[in-house]
Amino acid sequence: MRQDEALDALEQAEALKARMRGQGGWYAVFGVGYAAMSCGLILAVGLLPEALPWTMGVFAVVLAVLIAYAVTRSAQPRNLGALHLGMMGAWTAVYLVTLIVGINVFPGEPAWWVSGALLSALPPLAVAYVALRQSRNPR
Amino acid sequence: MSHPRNRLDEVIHSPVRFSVVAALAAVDRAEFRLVRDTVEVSDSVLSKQVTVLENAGYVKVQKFTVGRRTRTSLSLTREGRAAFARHSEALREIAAGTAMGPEPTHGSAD
Repeated sequence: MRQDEALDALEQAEALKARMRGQGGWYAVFGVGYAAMSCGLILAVGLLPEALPWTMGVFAVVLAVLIAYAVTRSAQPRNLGALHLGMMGAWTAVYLVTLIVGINVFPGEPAWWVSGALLSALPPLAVAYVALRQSRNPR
Repeated sequence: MSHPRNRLDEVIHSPVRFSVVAALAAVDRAEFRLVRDTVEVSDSVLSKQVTVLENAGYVKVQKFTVGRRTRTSLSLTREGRAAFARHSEALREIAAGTAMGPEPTHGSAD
């Protein structure tokens, strides 16, 4: 193999890898959708407790749509498992603390529930940012 | 020090297989049709080359059902990633011109 052939092969590989990485950008959409769902859910649970059955129904539908969207994508970005697991762990911790402390100490207190809702959106938004950067990284 | 061309992987060296492995190296897994469109080959060509990669232990093929459709996904195994990394490193050395010894005019490892 000649030097120029090796260079061509490496350039071709990088071009293919960049195209495939671009296919992983869907996880950014998933992260933003999850963040929005999380905000809505926590605000509804904390500030509209009487509408809880309706809220949980909407939450279930949105979650089903997000899962259907994820499983029908044609490529999984690199390290998706670890990224998603980390996001779900952080989100679950924020969600549980917000709910348990909020229900017992700050029932109906907008400052607590809005803060908790925004905080719960951070893990999915963080992975959305990571996925977007990965998908747009040419190398 | 051996010439880096001696470290080129015979299985990955084929142009289509090299493209398939390079494409899969950028993701955890990808659907057959996406790889086919990205590498720009026919179903039958990709199927044949994937079988070679699968037999070498470099690619894992999985079939799963989404709704009423059966989908085929491809992913690199740990061995496949390691082989591609070694192959790419050898290519980089050749491209950088750091190879030791004369380059033969015929009978290269392709």
